[in-house]
Amino acid sequence: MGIFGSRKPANKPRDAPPAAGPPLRPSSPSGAIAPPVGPRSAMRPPGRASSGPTMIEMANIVQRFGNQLVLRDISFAVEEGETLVIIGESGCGKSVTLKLLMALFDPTAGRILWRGRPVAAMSERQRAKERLSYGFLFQGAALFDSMCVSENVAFGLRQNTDLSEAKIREIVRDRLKEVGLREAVCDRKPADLSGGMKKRVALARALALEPELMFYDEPTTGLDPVMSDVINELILRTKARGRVTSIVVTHDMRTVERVADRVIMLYPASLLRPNEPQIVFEGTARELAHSPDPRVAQFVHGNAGERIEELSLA
Amino acid sequence: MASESQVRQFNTPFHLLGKFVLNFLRTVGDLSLFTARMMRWMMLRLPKRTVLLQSFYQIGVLSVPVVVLTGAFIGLVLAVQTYDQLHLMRLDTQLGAVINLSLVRELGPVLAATMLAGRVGSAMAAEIGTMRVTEQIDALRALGADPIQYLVVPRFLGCCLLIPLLSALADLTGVLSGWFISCHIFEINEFHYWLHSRQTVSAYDVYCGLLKSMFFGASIAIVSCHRGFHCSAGAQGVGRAATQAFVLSFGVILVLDFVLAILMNDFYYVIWPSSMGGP
Repeated sequence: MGIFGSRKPANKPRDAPPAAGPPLRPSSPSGAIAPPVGPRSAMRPPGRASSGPTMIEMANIVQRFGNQLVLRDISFAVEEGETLVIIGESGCGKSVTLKLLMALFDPTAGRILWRGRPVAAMSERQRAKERLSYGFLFQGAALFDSMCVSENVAFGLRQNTDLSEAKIREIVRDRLKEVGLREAVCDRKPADLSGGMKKRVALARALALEPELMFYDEPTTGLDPVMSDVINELILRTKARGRVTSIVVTHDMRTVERVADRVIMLYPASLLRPNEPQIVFEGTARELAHSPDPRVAQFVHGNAGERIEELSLA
Repeated sequence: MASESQVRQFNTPFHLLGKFVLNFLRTVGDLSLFTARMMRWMMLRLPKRTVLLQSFYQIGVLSVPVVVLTGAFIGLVLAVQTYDQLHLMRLDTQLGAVINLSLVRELGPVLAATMLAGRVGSAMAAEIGTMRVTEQIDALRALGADPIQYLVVPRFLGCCLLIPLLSALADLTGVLSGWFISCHIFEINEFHYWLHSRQTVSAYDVYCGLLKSMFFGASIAIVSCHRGFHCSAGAQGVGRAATQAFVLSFGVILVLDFVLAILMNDFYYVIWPSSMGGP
């Protein structure tokens, strides 16, 4: 705790100055898989004290599933009020990154820090409590299909607060209105909803507890262009409302253009040469469009290029 | 990749046996930890009443028809199968003793538990498995609910408390159907039918049967929920979890039945040492 002593944990940094400053990427010298290392202050570039406080941070994260290496030495931090978009092709570990940040499981190596405090040192109970200030929009919406829409939205409130039923109903109605759903959907089961509606109900559910940080896991995947834009707009509105910090995982370039303050591109670990960093791009959306890196340009413009050769390998 | 080629070299029967034993131990250890976590939640904080009642309804009320049907047919089959033998020996009136004793001690609890492992156990594994595959379990955690507390505790309590009641129901319908076919179809003397039953079947036998079914219920809940939580992705994964839940629960039920039968017999002699001939 000592090295983070100067920072107040948890509450109230909402009216801090807007996050601007240079992107923070603690560079590990070789880019090779390094064991999680020492004091974070050593990794912080000078002059960072002026920008917004760090909301969440990943330091030298390595993630393996069996023999498969998914993340190798990933480090980045997200400041308060910032919208970070993580892009990359399917299977490069974007969703895993989000779930690690939410501490839904533990990394093979490395550290996750919530407002500067290492998650590994927290008990499951503490984590559960902290997690309440984070909202998560799951890729497939992940609505509880045994419950109706209003029960889904009210779930977090019923589980964690002692609010009266009337108050809960009011919040549910407000949240559904915010995502553009009428009260008539309240009694419907998730199975009866369209993809776009499911996503919006899931967003209303995640926002019911008024999170300070929102995770979006491929929010527009599987939706039509119009509904995708509705979701993008909702992400922006959520951010505007009470300076919510957002981390968006996507491979939809429209979303990147509309919502991103900063973009990180991950590349599949299996296609990297040894010692190459897995984060192949970091910068603004505009910089992304003009990146000289062929791998980035390929993704941005949607060209298979020489990757088409993978087809013949099969 | 060196390790992989090494792994392939170790493919002798001894290594396979070792692998099997290790796997078995790992599963048992995992199950124990799972149970311990659930027990801890049961002490700490029970889920809300509505959550409990919902799963009690699913497990208890909806299983009544299956259990009644099972009990009724065990009674009928026992009567039909045993009657001929006893009739040859002119021991017709002993039929009540045979039917009722085997019902309350063995067949009622075991067959009811088997049916419930099929109906309740695989449904639980499939439901939890689907929730896992569709990220609903992650969503529970993201919304501040512990999946063990929210999903496993109500199902465990439901199985532990209601499966004995359902077994009692199976016993009752079995006794009634056995009586009906014996006394009304085979025309056995009703007085002697019940007299022999009363002389043979003690309250201890009934309690033993119900106590056993409580253990069966607990094992169905734990094994099935555990399978659900370790479900692999896709429709195939969910299907496999449901099948495994049934097969494993059934295996555990049979083993438990054997162990408990020994323990309960020993216990009987401890309480009533004079009756060394058999309970």
